[in-house]
Amino acid sequence: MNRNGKMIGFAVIAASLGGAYALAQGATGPMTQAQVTAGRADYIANCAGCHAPGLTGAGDAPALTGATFNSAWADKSTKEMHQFISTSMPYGNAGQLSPATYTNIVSYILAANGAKPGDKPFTKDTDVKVSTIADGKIVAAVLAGTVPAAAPRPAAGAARPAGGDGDGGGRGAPAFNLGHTVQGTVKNYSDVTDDNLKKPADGDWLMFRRNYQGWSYSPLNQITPDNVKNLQLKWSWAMVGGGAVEVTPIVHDGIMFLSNSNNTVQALDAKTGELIWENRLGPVQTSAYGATRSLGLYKNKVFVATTDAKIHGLDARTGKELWSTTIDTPPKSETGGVMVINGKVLTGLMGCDQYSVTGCYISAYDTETGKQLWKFQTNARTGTPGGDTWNGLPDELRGGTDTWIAGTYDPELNTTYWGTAQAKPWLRASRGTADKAALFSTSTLALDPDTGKLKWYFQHIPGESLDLDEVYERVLIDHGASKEVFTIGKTGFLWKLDRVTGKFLGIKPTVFQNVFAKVDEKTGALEYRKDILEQKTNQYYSSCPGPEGGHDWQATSYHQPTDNLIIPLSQSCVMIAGRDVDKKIGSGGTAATQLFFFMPGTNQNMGRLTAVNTATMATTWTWQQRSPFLTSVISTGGGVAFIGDFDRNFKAVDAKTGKIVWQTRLGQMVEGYPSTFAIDGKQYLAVTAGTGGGSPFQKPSTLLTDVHRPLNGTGHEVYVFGLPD
Amino acid sequence: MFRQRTHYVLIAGLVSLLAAPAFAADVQYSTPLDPVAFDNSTVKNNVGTGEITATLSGKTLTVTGKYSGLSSAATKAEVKIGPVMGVPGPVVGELKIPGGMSGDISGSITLTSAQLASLNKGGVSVVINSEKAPNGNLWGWLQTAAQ
Repeated sequence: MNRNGKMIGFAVIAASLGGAYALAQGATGPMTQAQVTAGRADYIANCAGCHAPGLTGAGDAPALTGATFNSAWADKSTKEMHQFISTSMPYGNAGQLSPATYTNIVSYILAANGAKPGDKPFTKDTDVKVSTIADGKIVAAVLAGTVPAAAPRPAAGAARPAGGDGDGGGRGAPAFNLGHTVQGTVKNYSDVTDDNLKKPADGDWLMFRRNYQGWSYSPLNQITPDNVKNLQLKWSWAMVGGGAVEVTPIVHDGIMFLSNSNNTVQALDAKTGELIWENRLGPVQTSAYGATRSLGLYKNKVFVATTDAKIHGLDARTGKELWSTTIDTPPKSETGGVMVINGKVLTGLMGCDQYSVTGCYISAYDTETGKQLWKFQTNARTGTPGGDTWNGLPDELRGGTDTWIAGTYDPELNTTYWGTAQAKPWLRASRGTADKAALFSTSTLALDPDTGKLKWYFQHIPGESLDLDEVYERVLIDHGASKEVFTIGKTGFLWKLDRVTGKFLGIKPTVFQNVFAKVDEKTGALEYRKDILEQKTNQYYSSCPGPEGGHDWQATSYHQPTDNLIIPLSQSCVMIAGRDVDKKIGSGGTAATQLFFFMPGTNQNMGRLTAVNTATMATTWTWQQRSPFLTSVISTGGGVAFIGDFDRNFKAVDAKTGKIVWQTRLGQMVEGYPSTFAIDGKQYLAVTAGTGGGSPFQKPSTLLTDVHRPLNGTGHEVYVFGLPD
Repeated sequence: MFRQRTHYVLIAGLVSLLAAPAFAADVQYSTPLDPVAFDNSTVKNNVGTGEITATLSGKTLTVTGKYSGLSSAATKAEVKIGPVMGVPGPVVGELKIPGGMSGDISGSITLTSAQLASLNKGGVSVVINSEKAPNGNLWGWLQTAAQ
């Protein structure tokens, strides 16, 4: 239930209506207790996954209470709120709930913010200024579902959506039993060694980006531009619904290890699609968020970090849980996947947008026991290096710097490379960091994997202020003696750094941008547009690209034979306004409202695929299409690159020329991190489809009204293709 | 000495001729008009398409174009100037439109030196408002072919 803002002119509209508002604050609101009670269940079923059960917001979804609620809604009317929610939410499934469900949800949100239920039911035409009935102060009893003794109890079935079950209601998740639900044993499993991780077997895809260098490149060469047209579906598997699909099918010795929604891990025979074991670790997810991007393998174990901020070690042969360690407590979570280095499993942390005592960090755990070995604080604490770059904010108000993409590793330098997200709330005007850098946000970090000690950092955008992450993949490439690390973020700037020292080596724009007035090509220093530097809360600022990127979590592929980095890009813009934030633990969030528009100069083409030569930083080839890409790119020794898009197309392109040589259409948006592997000498290709996916799926969901996708169910599925036998 | 001074005069005269706006070549601009979209509650109203071409002659920008496919009658066509492409700015002029859900666009405005600088940075936009989208239904930023 995000995007609770409206156009800039709303304030004027609301003011003009002001005289008609009859209710004074403290009077009974325009809804009944029955609606509030039903609305609580409807909110939990349809909204809480994004906006959190306590209305505190999370990720892209702003808080629906406190200062953020007031700055977005206080001057507007309940009719406008209902109009917005009923036409915009749930995101990706807008307008699909029953009319009663929408009025219930609005009633609940208002009551949770202080409005008092009365005798008159809320309708779509109820027109009351929000600030006259709700003050933004959360009402614990409403959140808890405690019906005041004096209030009338809802009649059975009253105000229930069609098909509602009286409690979960609406699109409530079906029952999902947790536990080691399918027990079986992987036969002939061979332990994964350090040497395997350093030099994966050609037929394996052992980790997130296949190799430690983050190439997303396989030397397999059976599928070529000439024969790719013969690809055929070998098997598919319906994955757990709910949440989001952004997964990498990991394959070792012909076994696919698959992370699903609800923190469910499965092992499948990668040749036949037969399920071998399943462990539903939980918790169950209710939102379009919470994808687990990758698992890790080491020796006899498979590792998964989960959406409740835990990390688990499972027996790779049986799926039995061997250990579980708490990283932090929700709303912290982890979705970025894990990596294994020298017997340690490393993970980042998400959900750091909400103010907390513990802040945000990268941490490492013993693969045998799960014991935490070290952690590196990404939001620098007072009195530590970088701690004086937060404009004097107390440590608990230093939000963000999440690490939601797993790192890469150089074994020779024994250095691991991670990207960090921006400080949060998104806009500096909301978070109060003024013109300070807020280390170690939007940075590349080079860490010693044995100790977590920082070797160097490079901050790409000091004091980033528009939700333009630089958190994504760090790709390690050598040119002669030059050891380099490449990364590209939402700005669309491709960065080249010396990975020994962190020295800036180059920058290249890949999409139009209007955020930075100056780009110093010698140092990489960026200078914001003047109005962005002088930003205030509750005012809109143009950002091209917007939070979709540029480049987002859909990772690049380094096609080694051509020295090209093949980059999925998106082209859209936003008007973004930072909201006021309560400066207290549990508040924070991203605190912004976005309005989307097509990127000028693109003819409404939201997707672009570009190959850049990493030695020269020159564009080798590029083309654009209407739908943005929702998978990472993988490329192969056969000279083919694969990518999937919002319009359900899975495409193969000639890696040298960019020419499309094959495509097929799947059941849902093609979304995730494809992989390729070999069994018995035969090459296969795995790709997932489904929903969720954050900004890269949200923006086109609004802008591309002509692109139709299944609205019923999430359609999460893994597809495996191969050449004819 | 006299010969050298004559050269200076000729060169200065040539420079002044080249710099004079009256002798500058006309510059052509164009843009498609995209629906503004914004969010799911407005996207159903903010539909349509259009094309704009513009010619800068001296400081006068002459605009022609057409729009179609609106979901409600057009109410106003405005020229806005921001610092760079994609940043809406204040209104600096209005263009003629017939109203209705399709039609032609025409008009001209005289730009200041600062506004000319914004035009060269892609900062000039044409915005069509309509009854259901009074804060922008279609918009596009003028660009030369080289941009």
